Amino acid sequence: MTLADGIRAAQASGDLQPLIEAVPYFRWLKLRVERHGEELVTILPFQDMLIGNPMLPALHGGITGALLESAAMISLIGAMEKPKLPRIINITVDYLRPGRPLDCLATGLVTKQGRRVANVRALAWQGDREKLIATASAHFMMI
Amino acid sequence: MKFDLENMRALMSSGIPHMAEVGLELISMDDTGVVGRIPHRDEFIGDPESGVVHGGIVTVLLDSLSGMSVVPVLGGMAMTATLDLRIDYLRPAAPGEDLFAKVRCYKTTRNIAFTRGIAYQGDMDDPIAHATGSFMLTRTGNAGTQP
Repeated sequence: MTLADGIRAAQASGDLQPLIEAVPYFRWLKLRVERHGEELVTILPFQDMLIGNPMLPALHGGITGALLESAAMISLIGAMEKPKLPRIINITVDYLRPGRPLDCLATGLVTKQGRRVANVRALAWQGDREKLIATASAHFMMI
Repeated sequence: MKFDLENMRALMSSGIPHMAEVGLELISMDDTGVVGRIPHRDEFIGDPESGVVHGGIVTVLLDSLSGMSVVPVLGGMAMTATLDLRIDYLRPAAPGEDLFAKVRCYKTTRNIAFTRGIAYQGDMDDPIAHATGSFMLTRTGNAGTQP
């Protein structure tokens, strides 16, 4: 099965987990995708190797950024019709709280889906959805 | 702890689990910038058809070095917390090649440090990504009181 077939199947069924399995970096992070109502929530299960500050302890900030980028892309794929991987143009991550050594959840909100470019806001939290640990704004190339 | 390249290498390889896990190597570090490398691994691939690495590993490299670039500027006497990090992806990474980055802390104020840098593979003049960051400082010594 090609990647495009996998994405097409995921978009048709609404289950994006096969896409995770097709991407080595997502598999390495053990990402899971769950559908919570209209939202696709990407879950990063905690692993000791994700720690960036052992004194607090806190997740590595790069990992929080990687999760937000991944969640933004996964939510975008779920919202678009073409069976292809959007390519990231840029991302700005705002760090609001240290990530604790717990599972981290994130979702992307597609704020604009144009013909060539999409804008996606992404949110990350742990436990309490109201206490975001980081947010991001990203652009993706759709062609 | 006073800043020292060997201390930083030891801290990264044994004290910071995610930097150790991705194999981040510190190549050089002083107040003109910090250079590091993440050796290629197939687990970092984000596009299985082209073999291009995922942006997340580029983010991990640039975030790590951006925070570290502040350390020699302040003589090691500050803790940093990332406020924000922007990454522009300038071109796709070449498949199978190691990732390098160089980041410089170009300005500090009493509370904030500002950084910018690039990620590249081989040719620094043709970078794959550009990053700008800002960091909240918590000073742990008398750094910043010197001229």
